[in-house]
Amino acid sequence: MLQHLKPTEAAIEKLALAETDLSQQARFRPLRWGFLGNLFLIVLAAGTGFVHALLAALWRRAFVPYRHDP
Amino acid sequence: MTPDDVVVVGSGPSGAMAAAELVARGLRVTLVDYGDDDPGMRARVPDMPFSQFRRTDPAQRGYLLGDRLEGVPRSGVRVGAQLTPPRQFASRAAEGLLPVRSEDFHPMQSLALGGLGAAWGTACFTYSAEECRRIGLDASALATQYRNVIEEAGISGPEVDPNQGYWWEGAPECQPPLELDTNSASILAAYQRDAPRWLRRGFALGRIPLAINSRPHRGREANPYFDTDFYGDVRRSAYRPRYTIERLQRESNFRYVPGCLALAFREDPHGVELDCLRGGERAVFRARRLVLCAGAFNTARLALASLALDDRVTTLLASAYTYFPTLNLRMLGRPAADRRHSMAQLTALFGALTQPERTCSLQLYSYRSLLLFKLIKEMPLAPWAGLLMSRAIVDALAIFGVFFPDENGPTKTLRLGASTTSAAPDVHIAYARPPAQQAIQAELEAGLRKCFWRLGCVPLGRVDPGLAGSIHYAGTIPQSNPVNPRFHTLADGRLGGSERVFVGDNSSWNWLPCKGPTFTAMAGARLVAGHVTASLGERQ
Repeated sequence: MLQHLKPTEAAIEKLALAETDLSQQARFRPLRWGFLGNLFLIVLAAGTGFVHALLAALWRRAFVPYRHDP
Repeated sequence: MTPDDVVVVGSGPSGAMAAAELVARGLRVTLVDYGDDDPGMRARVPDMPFSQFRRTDPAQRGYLLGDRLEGVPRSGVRVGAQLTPPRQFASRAAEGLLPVRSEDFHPMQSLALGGLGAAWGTACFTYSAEECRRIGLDASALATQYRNVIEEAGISGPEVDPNQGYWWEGAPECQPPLELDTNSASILAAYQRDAPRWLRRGFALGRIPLAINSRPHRGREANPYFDTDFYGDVRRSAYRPRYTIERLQRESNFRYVPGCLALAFREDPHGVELDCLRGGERAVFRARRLVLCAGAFNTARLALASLALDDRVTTLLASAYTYFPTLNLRMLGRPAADRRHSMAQLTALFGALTQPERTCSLQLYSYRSLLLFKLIKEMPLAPWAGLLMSRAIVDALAIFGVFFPDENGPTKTLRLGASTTSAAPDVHIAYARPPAQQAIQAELEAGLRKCFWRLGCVPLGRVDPGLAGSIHYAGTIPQSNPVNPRFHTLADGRLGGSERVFVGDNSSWNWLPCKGPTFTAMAGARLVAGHVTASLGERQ
């Protein structure tokens, strides 16, 4: 199940291209907000990101038609 | 043209060291190799810190992701996925030319100049007398050759450390240790505050010896701590076998012949002939002796294809490997210094430390110069959240790679098949670890998780890159072969049933320790080269 929640290949490729684009470097810099600040970020990202990924996966399963590539 | 004294097959760590020893002993040596390389891609990596070119180089996508985005993994975790575009030549040619058929065992093989050594993580370990006994190596003879490998490759040793005896017998020829990065230094400091108790738990942690210069050595520079070691051979500070080949090419009694795919050999009363495919045509090399250093699978492929055997089947060894990404709580929210090398920072042994079959070895990496998208890819989160999470943890991420020992047996087989897609025959591999071996691994992993927590490193997951994921392979022509007793190697490295063919790489091992095999395989190759010389009569 967790496998289905991981980002799609297209999303990863988009991230990879952005990460190697000089104009978008700021989006990828380490965040250093101290121990509690970073802990808060981790909890926030894990909680909301998991729910978002779960809903997105359910949406895909329910509404995105299966495409058969010949 | 008179035949050579010796033909060596393969330019990997073993082949380069065997050739170096033979040339030093005055023999005429030809090294036959496929020799794939990608110097153009390697040269594109700038000679500056990773953090600097990330901020300034508009061409970084070319070498970080590849011109066809070949550095963006398309599927789940698999063997070789960690190779960056400038390193992908290490396995590129072998994927098509050395076919392996298996349901679940997909090894990384190499036809590159330098073999798998072109992408070696440079971790070096000496083996204890007990480990040598199990492998079938002469421990006292090996000690001399360890020193020769240190001289050839340049090893930065651990500083005086009470635990280092578990993985490194100190040698005065070693260079000073490399600097630790911030993350690893904090973990080591936490460990050292209570080292005796850790040892009672069976956990020995310390600095790792690496084949990377901490000071100039043999025309190669010291590592500049640019954190680009996963991409280029920065200032040649990390040892690669091609440096030995380049040096040998300046010797009059050495010849390097690239572009050859070795297929089989024939022995007659006067010497050995090696059949190769070169540029689409058959090429034959003749010598008085042949030394096989083509890697565990390809050495077995060559020997199985060449010997008169009733059954062309053998066994194999492959370390089990898993890795644990952990969050080092001491570093959370704190900046990690950019100045660092990229390879393993620390090593550890865990288990019953005096029983090598019940011990695993660890290598600790800190995640900086591999890009964040590779981390996000493994997170079951929406991409924006994965990015936020990665940015919050990247300074504190400590990745423990864990290796386990392997023993051969009837559930681990390699069988020679017909040629289908390449001039080289297919090999069919069936590999399964027996339940008892799996139970030991599970028990060790459970204990390790507790150790990580006690060290202040919160395990974030467990990643299993597959049965062949360690890239530590050996034992396809062991001295004692439980699958095909006639297919074996003698104690001096000579191929069983042969007079003039020797096995120079770790195909001849009876057992595979948890500690990385490359350094000892290099020393072992030099030992075999000594036996080859003796079989010809000393020349100097």
